[in-house]
Amino acid sequence: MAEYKEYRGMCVVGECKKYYGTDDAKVIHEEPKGVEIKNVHLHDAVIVGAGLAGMYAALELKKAGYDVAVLTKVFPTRSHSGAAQGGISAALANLEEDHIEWHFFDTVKGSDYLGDQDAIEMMVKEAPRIIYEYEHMGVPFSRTPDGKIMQRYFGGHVKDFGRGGPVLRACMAADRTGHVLLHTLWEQCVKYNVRFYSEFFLLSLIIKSGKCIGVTVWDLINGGIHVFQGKAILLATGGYGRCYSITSNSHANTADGLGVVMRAGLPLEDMEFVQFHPSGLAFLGVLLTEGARGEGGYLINNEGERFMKRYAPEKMELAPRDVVSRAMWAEIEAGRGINGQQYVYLDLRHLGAQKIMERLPQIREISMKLLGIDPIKEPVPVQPTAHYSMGGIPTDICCRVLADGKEKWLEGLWAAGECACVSVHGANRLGTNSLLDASVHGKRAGKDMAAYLSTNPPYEVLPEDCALDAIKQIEWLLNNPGTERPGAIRKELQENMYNLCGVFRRKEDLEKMYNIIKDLQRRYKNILVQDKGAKFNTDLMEALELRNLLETAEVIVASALNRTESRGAHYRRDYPNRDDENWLKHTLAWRTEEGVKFDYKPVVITRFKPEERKY
Amino acid sequence: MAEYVFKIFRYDPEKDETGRVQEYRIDVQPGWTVLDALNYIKWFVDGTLSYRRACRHGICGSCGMTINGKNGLACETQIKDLGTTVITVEPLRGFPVIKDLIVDMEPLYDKLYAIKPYLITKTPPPTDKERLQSPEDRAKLDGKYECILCGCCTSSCPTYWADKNFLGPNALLKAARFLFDSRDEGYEERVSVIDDKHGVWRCHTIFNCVEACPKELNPTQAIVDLRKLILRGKL
Amino acid sequence: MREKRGSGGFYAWLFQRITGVVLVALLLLHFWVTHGLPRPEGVTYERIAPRLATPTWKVIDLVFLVCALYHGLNGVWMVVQDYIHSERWQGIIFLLLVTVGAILFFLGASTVIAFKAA
Repeated sequence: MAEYKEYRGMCVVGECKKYYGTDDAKVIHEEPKGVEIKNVHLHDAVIVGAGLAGMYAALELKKAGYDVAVLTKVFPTRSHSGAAQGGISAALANLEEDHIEWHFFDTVKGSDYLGDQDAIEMMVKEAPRIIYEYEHMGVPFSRTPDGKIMQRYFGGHVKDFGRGGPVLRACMAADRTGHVLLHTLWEQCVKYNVRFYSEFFLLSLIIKSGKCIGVTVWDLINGGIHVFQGKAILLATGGYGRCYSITSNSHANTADGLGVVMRAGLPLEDMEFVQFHPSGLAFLGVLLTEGARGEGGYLINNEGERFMKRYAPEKMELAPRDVVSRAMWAEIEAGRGINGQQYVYLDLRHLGAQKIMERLPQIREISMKLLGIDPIKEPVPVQPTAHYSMGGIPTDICCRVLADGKEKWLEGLWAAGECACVSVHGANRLGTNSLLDASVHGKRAGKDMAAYLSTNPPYEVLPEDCALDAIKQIEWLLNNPGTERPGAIRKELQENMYNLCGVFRRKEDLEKMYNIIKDLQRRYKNILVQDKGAKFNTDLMEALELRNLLETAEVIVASALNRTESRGAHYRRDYPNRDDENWLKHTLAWRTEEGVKFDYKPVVITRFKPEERKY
Repeated sequence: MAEYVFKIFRYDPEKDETGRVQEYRIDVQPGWTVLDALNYIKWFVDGTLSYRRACRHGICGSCGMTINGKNGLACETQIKDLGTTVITVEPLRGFPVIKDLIVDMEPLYDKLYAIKPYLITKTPPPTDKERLQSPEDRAKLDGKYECILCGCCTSSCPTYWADKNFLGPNALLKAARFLFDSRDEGYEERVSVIDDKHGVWRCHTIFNCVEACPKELNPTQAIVDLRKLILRGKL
Repeated sequence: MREKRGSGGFYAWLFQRITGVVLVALLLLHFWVTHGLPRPEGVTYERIAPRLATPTWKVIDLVFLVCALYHGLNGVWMVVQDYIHSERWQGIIFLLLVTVGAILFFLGASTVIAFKAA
């Protein structure tokens, strides 16, 4: 495969001097190098992130005949899209009556009416086509007896504009839906010879006179800074779950895209809305799919009671995530957690061994391997876990990044997937809509970028100092004679965020948290990176990630403090009601040295007028 | 809480001529996996320790390594299940070491690219509908599509250690995932690659890959099935 | 590496399997004839020689010889392919194995074919 060889040739990993393990397994050896710009790469389009959104866009661009480079800090199939378990929603009506309008309504209602309805409508309309396209690419979906794509129930997806019972809408491949989508997309990228640059870490955006013309990245394998110049840049860097100690997110989800966007002086939208998934494995946060409740699992407290009947009598365990998470947290606060701790039980035993092994094999595997608990025999301890970030980089419905957060496009820059805020999820995302969001917007971004490239915009001349900040940052981190270790600062940040800016929020807690973050940012200036090398310096990487986490957490907390109402995933104990009069609007937040500055933009409401959200 | 000794393979390409073993004594909390211990060492003891990790629940395939001589995912290996307080951690065998526990997986990916790891179809799909596939046909993919590309199987294969041109269990399992897919029409292209003395015929059915696979898949069975498929195609 | 794919291996593998099965069958036959049949007068040259001289047994022995040689030498060849990567050395060893096989076959075949009971 010529292109891959060429890539390997360019980033020579070095002469192989000695193998390890077997006779001629080798240890790669190369002379150390200082911080320097190693390469300037020129591509039509540069995509940062190789999850569903990034790879879908890459595929679209490649099919349109453009030269595209995909940068990722892990190998593409290690992206966190692959961890999604339950399904991807689309009103295919393969098993029972379903309509795109119902899906539309459920998403709007799920978003607590903060979702932009024009964007939601486009997404749900596109959904069936995306699923069929995935199937044609070769995704091994589970099948119905007559050979169609299998669908299952999922929280918040119901019939007849919220009036009916649950509907079979989540297309599934056992409980590995994200895994099969991600691998299939990667396979297609291999087929179309998309060029991947794996294990490159994003450092900054290059913006020249109001136009984004490239990115600088750190080559993790060899060390050294690379500049990637392109006419169209897409950020698909995923979420920021790592701001929290209990999170379902991968170690890699550290808000890298949001960090560089903020440092480029751009705003972030709706950052206060962080979804807590109800069924995170206790102590770890690793996710047990909502499919477990979809298949009929019960949530019980220490009195053995199905407590959801007091919070969502109709939908019970199938109520949307924020409702269930709050119910669990309320039980825990009332002392009804198991053994008085921060968790309750998810009981699957009544489903029977056969159903568990057939429909939820991964759930069983995870709880057995990570906690040593077999759900066929025992209930599984679960606690709310930071799962999804509804907020992110403000974009329009073509995924173009808005420089002022409202209308003005920052030419050359797109964002898609979890790092972006279109906003289709509003204040709370429905289960299975994330894979859909990433796929639909990845594709749409790819198409829009291709359309932009077809107007043949010129390559700008790179400013001389385009990588100066990045170089300074790396050199400072490598040489700073500090005492603070990234691991300790991060731990303090994450644990406090979970307790003070989690499921329930209060003014005092948030103010306390804001001060903690400011203090941690001060301590960050005294950071110590122990590993001084250039090659695969993961210590350096964690320090770079920590900066992004600290800055993002600051915006989350400030936005949460600013929004004095409760809506969707954002629940203020001191303002427990939704306030449409003052707060039916998106938050735009700029992080500056003097603190976080705010502005607002209206919600697009086309078809469904806000009404009380009850389940 | 108990004190454990971790003997970890260390190699810094910028300092060491060759690998060495470093010992860490740490207190292990109940329920910790090997990855938790590595994280603890990296975050609070020695920041220079390098390894790959991402999802920490066995779906991304980043943290494949050799733990007490057996390949597996660090994030899914409960320390107490190892039954000893001395734990050796080494990089995956058979691949070039980049640094500490990080290996160059490119040889593994090269083998994957060789078998054309994507659905090949010739008849155009129906517009705005899925291709139909019976649940029985779909069941043929079970045990094949779940692969996470962690490399544990190929790295455990003595035949691969001896013959670096061997496609290896990983790529052959992936080939089986497509050859046994009722929708795939790439029989010729793919078989022409795996019907090779470095392909399916090279496997000596040692079954190490079956033992190593953290997802409990069976690449050896897949290879045997592929042989039968090719045999039937030729005769 | 890619362009070399698709060359050989199938027949070597197939014949290894076939000769393996044939060897098992012939070995069982051999054991049965030697140890299983009633032999009131004991195992003696006079009793066995006439059997070995019949054309049927000559064919059986020749098949035995060919299968054993192929199976054994092909096994060695597999091990060689595993551990010796230089094409030159592989070629030399291959020729060597073929030569050894040819000589052994010649010796064996001439003994079997020329065998007379008296």
